[in-house]
Amino acid sequence: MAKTTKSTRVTARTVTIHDQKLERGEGGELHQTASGKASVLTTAQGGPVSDDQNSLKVGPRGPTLLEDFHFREKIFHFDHERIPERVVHARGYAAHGFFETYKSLAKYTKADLFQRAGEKTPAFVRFSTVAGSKGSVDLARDVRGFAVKLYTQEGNWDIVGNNIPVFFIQDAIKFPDLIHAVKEEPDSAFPQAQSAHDNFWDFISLTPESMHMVMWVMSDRAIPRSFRFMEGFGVHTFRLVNTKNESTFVKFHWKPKLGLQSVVWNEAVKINGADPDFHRRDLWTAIKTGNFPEWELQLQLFDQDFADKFEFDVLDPTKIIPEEILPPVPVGRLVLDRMPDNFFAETEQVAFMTQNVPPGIDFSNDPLLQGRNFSYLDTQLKRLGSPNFTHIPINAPKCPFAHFQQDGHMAMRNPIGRVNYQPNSFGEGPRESPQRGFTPFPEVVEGEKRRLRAESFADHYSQARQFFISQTAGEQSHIAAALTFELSKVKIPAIRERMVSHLLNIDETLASKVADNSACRRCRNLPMQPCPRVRISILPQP
Amino acid sequence: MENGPERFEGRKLGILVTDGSDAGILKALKAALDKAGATFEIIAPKVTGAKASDGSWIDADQMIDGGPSVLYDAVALLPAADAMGDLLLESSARDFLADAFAHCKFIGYVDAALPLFEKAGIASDDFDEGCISIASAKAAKSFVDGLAKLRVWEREPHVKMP
Repeated sequence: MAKTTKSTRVTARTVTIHDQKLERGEGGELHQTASGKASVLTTAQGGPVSDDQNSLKVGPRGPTLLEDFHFREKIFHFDHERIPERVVHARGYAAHGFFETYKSLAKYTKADLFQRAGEKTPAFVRFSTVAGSKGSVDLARDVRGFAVKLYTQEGNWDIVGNNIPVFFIQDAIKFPDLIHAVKEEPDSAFPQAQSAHDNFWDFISLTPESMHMVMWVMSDRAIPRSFRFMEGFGVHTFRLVNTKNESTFVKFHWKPKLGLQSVVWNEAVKINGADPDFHRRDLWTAIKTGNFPEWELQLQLFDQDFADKFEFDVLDPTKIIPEEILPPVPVGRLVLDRMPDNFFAETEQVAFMTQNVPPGIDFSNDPLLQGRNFSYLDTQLKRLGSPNFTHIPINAPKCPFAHFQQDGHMAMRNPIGRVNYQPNSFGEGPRESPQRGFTPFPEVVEGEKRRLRAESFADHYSQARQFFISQTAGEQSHIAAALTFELSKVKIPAIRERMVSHLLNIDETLASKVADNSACRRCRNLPMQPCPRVRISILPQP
Repeated sequence: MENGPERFEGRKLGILVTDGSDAGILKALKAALDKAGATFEIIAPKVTGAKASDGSWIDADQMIDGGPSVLYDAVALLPAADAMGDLLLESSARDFLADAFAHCKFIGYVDAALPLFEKAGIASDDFDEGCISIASAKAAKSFVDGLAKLRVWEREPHVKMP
């Protein structure tokens, strides 16, 4: 066989392109070759690559050869770079940091991270919009996700919250409808990342439980100036459970050290054109220049007695407990001090799940929370493609862990030894611990099996009104202007009218202002019939 | 708004400069911003920057097209009189000011910038407490101190129909 040392490149001339020295191939293409400190390019199998500018052909103008494994592998991998974007909260941005406990909360919870003053727990926080796709603009009028993953010594704890303390719906069974309605319409595929269209307001106008949330999402909070200037909320009522198995209800609040700040709508629209990554750039720049954003974790703590006396149901995620009635208590601080090295590896692959709670944190029966606890595993499997998504470093616990789950796609961390079950008689492998393990609060629950909404969930307007009247005159006019704008994009007059009739139950001045300004020519001055406080029948509704 | 942060810390001022901009005022703005824990970007007709009144070079972060005022929490206009002819021809300079005014932002200005207000449709009797002359280094410092309020919401009824 003929022996050759000839380069695959027929001839190569060194050329200077301004400040760069490269080699020029036969077709005028430029080659940067390995020399000095530059490492040698390889395939994913580790094989060194001689030429990354030209595929393998028969003659310079001939067809490309199937045997060109480097080309095949390169294109193959490129074609598979995308994973499904999140079905909601697709547009997000995240940072690393830590949570520091101020003082022991052992009185309320056995959660390990709350036992010692000064304890620092690693954290990863992802902010997001809800409706828009991964490439949508940052300043959409929308709720912002505020998802916090705390890598505690007893497992990951995810507080998967929002920048608004309430939600549109009371039961997770309505979530697909809500999201279908707000996302682009299925036939036209527009408008994206906007609630200002017929489908959204049609659904909302037929969903009176959303009215409180509508007031918040039409407020300045839905167009924040920066992730750094937003509050965060756990939304639902949770439980803290101590070593004596005593439960305290809790609502989680994140308060930004630099205060709340929003932009105005006309400004938001222009920011979206001038810098669609406005919030990303802001967080990136702040952290990269050492201006670490900080939030204080504050808890609203209450017992069953308070819950029973409170005029709204603490299990209803469309209601808040006003801070004037129950002042939140500061318990720690969250500092974000490091951007991910790679967006995909961490921000895109991070898997938040409401059901990730350590011992000492427990759920309430909030039907939205219960549904979320069920849903998140499915979404991670769909998006990340394997039950081994916990092997991805950003999702792996940072505490010791051991179990017998094995195999599956892309298993990165595999057990060693013969035992992969228990009980076993080899004295190998991990075992359950009634002392340290998660035990749910032993709440007594009974009742008939029915599809029923609790009557205690039926007041949809009082807190919407309370929120509206709590706002300054300027903020109230922003809410009116936002509603007017949104409804001005609604083509069907009946939908606008329906919304105005809801608003009449919230605030008459607001309703008439929106009616006047949104060209609601035929608006009847009739409030929407609120749900009667006492229902006559408990048969399946309505 | 009521529970606003009352601080400019972590916020950003957009400073519009041209050739001949007053180096002393610029220096005073930067020092005051630094003290407040705030940042700034320099916007110039050309991204290469501009030559200040004292002959020093001001590096720009944005050319005027790329740095509209919506990207900043407040703005300062430091053009030199000689540069106003070109600036008045540039619609994005007009938008820079008109938007800052419409979005109820604080606007610091030197006298040379006054024709730009007219171009932006802001008459002299539209001037309010948020339009602040920064003709001296001292005035520039007190302008930055006043930015903690973040926005001039009192202006809003004059720029938005009810």
